[in-house]
Amino acid sequence: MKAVKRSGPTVYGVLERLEEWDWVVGEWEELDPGESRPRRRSYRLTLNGRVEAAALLAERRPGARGTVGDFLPRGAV
Amino acid sequence: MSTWLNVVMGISLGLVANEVGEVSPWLARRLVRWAAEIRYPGRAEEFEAVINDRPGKLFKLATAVGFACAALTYRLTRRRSALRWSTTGKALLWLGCSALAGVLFGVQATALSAEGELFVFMSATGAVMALPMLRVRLVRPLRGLALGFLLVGTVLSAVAVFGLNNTFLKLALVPASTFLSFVLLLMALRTASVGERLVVPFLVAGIVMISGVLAQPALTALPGDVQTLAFRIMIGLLAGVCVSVGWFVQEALTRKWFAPRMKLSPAHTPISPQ
Repeated sequence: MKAVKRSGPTVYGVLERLEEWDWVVGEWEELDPGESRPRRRSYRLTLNGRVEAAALLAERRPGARGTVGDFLPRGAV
Repeated sequence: MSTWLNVVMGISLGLVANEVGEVSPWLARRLVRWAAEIRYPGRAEEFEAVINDRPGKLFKLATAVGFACAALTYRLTRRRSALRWSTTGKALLWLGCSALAGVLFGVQATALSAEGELFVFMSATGAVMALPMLRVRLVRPLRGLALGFLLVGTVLSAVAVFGLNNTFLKLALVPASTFLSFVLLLMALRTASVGERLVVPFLVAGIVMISGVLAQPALTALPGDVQTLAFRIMIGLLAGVCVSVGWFVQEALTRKWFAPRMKLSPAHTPISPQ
């Protein structure tokens, strides 16, 4: 939320859609047995998501340097 | 007495402020759980973690209120579509707007000429033709525009060859020019900004009507067939204007009253980076 400068509902709306499309996958944080706080959930791009994101970036921002390589899995470019 | 009141008020307000501070994290948790239940199922714990990471009690509450507002908006908009208004209501709305377009067209067409019955018949034909046009989804506007010009050109060429007495041509001329006008206005409406959208068809309608009035002396000097031809084209153009208004009203009301349909294909539909 801080990085993209968007509100929580906006970010989670997008995340929900990306999860639906299998672009990202969420993973629950593992807590120590003694901890009682709510678990955080982190998201990472799937292989499909990386390829789609790279294609999207290449289409929308062809001038952006390094972005396609950053998103693609190692060895793909 | 006022001194005692001040003391009591001071203590009470202090207690209230303290309690609000203590209650706000609990309230924030309740709010995000409710928001998760309504809008983001299965994310209650995740949201609680987000709230937990926020510094300050009031900031926690403010974040939770943000999620609650989003969930409330979602619930209000979805509840309407859940009542199956999405199917029946849209159909009724479409019929209402089509009828309005037809009535507008009829009023304008009858105002054009004293030949009452003939123009009522023609306007009714135009209005009936307008109904399917309201459902036209022009994926590629240029293709629609080309089709409109082709239709009008074909009918006018046929009129030049066979004359205007042909019944089929009489009937075909109004819908063809209606379609062309509709496509043209649709393109104009799509490119215009929201506030100016309704101005465009009314402006075009005004120009067409004024042109008709101004051209009347010149038209009266022409043969009767040419006059009829010009009138029919004008009626078709006005019908297109009315259909465009009806289409726009229907689309605007649908957008306002019903939740947007989000049927996006994951593989082929790119999301906007905005």
